[in-house]
Amino acid sequence: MNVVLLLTHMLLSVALIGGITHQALGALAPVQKATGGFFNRFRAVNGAAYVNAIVILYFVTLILGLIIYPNYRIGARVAMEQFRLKASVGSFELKEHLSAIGLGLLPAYWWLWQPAQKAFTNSRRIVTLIIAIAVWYGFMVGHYLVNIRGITG
Amino acid sequence: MNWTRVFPVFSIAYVISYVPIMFYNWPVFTYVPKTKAFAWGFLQPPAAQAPGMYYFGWLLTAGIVAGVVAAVAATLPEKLIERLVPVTWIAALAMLGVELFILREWFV
Repeated sequence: MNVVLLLTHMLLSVALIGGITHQALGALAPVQKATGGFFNRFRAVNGAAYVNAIVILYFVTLILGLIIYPNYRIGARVAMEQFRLKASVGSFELKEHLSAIGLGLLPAYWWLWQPAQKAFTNSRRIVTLIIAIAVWYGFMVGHYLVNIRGITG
Repeated sequence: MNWTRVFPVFSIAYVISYVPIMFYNWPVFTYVPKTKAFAWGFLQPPAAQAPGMYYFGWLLTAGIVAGVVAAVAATLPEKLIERLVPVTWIAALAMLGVELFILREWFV
């Protein structure tokens, strides 16, 4: 069951990373028309259309992560501590806290993307970027730790 | 009244309160994964049952604090709340810096 939950957690995080990256790039380097090459088309999205999906994906991905977290705490983490993989354990600690900060930012993030809040462009960009960083960091660390036995030998 | 206008205040209160809640260990509840047991507040389980997990409790504590602050903020004028909007990301970046400082010993 934990394997199914872990894989679902990872698949949802892939969807989340795609959505938040499109939105963050669209907010930070907007273009009016989807013309030209890949980068132009990638960021030529209507960011507001992604907001609800990103909030739901973030929340559901986090909930799944919380469900499988005890397994990590009494399994993988204990093994990593025994092998003195301090930086790896610390990386997960940071993922935990960054995810919490991202969770706390979600209400403001949703509010900032509402059509009535056009005056707060900079805040919208920065909050979106912070959430994107939290998602990317969580994904990278999660992926690294799942594969740590293969990577570290 | 549009209650979503306090969302930025909720976020500010959440990210600011989360760090001391984590640092001083003020979870609403503790989960002990080996026994699958919950306990109110902070619990240091016996060595055979350790570790206790506090993260879930920290998230909830911060949510409660932020909910109370947001409820109080709902009584404030809209213009004042709007002036607080940039504090959302300033607080998040500042708290991230504090987190990195707290966690530094894992990386040295």
